[in-house]
Amino acid sequence: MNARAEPCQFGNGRGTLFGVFHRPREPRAGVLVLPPFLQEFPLSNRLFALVADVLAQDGIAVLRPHYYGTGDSDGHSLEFSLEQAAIDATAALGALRERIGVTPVAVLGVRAGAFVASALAARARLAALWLWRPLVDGAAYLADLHRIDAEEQASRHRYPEGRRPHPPLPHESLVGYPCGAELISGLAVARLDRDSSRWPPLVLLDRVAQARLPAPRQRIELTSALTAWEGKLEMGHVPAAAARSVGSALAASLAVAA
Amino acid sequence: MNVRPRERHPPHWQRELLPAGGDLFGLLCRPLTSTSRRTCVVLLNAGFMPRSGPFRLHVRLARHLAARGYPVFRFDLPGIGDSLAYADRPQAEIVQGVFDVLERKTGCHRFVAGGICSAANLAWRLALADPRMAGAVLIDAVARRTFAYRLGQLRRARHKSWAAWRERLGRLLRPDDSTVAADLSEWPEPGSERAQLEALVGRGMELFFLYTGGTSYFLHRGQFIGTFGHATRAQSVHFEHWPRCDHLFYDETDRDDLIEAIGAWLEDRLPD
Repeated sequence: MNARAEPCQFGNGRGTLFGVFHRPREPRAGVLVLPPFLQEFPLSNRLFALVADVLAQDGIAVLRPHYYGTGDSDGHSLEFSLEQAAIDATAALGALRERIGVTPVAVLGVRAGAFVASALAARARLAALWLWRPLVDGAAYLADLHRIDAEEQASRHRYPEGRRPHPPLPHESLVGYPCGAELISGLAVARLDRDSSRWPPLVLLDRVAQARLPAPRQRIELTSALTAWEGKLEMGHVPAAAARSVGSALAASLAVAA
Repeated sequence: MNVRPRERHPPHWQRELLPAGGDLFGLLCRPLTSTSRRTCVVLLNAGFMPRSGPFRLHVRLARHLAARGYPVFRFDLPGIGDSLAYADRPQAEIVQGVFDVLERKTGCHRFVAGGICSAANLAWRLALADPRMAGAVLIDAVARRTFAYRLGQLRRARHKSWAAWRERLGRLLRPDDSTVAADLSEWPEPGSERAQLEALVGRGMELFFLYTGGTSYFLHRGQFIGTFGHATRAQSVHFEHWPRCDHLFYDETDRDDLIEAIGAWLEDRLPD
């Protein structure tokens, strides 16, 4: 089955969001991909473009939106927050449904994108919730970001001749990105399993079982090559064959759910 | 330095999705005013980084330049980011096809292309191949290991603490280097870059060279003339060395300074 990846835009009430829509010839289902945050977004972009392509080849339409203030969407990086991402996810779900009509829709939340996906799944009618290496505890994630950022700023490898002293910025900056106070405070209290009783069937994509989450209907094991980009700052090799294989597993999973 | 380029509110730019031939697509950021300039800027992928650029640098640069009157196009080359198909011809040819699309769309017949590292190498090849190229932004482009490089090595060795030596040793054993080593396959034949620069200067090409402290091959500003020869003294060659900035402009202030430097250079050298 042929599929096309095409750029699209839609409103979120505040500005214009950018997305890539993977359009199958005849969609039998849809998937909304909610990407990870900050540096993990560009690093994983190619991987999820490949996964989406496999799904679309199998008749599953995929929309990969960029949150407001991130990627190619409108807005400044400081305007990105969990609250804003939730609004964007709702707008993106509407945009996907507009394009594919009445077919089952699953949402895939990747890493910190799982916070947004799980909240959406708790309030929208979805066929499945797919979580890719989900972050469970926002405060722990925030601590990790602070640690990586401190290491990078002090790194003699990044700055062999030392980092230029800078005047203090009026906002926080983490892993190279300006971060608004709303993002920081939202992450500090974010918990993945808050509304888990209202989730649709869960498919967990991970390397190990997640004890802190409800039992998934299915677990898809990820290889280390598929998770090598996590927490990094530089682009690495994208394992195309492994991405295609996990895409096929997801397509099969949605066929069962539908 | 330290001039903070702001994204103006309300925005002085507008964004448009643009098919760029075959499966390629990109985003064209245009000035909202009717006084659009006649030079279009094309930002190329930095390695395998998607078109938004490291830490969204290309998005901010595009908005800033559009607010200064320049149309700016960003897209993913084949095999990178959202461009799923791999290239079936040389990258320079693909970008020339994109120039054709942009000529029709914007009415601009002159282009400035460039970016970081592999983008700079591609922009160099484009500058040599396409007469529509009026300028190039070359960040961490080719540089040879001249005598000045050895001086730079000594200076870097002086900066290293025991902890840095330990870190270096660790990275040698665990080679996921973020300090960028040269991709020699993309560089011109050794020695050819001097004649190439002379030819480009002779053609009236405007060139913005910037070397950061984040590469393993450019360690001293003296390498610039050692690599490219006396044509580097031409007025159309702009050179900067930022030894305390990393290869991907991790610090927001470094990004601000880069955006402002490119904007000021464009307005000074290619004001039309």
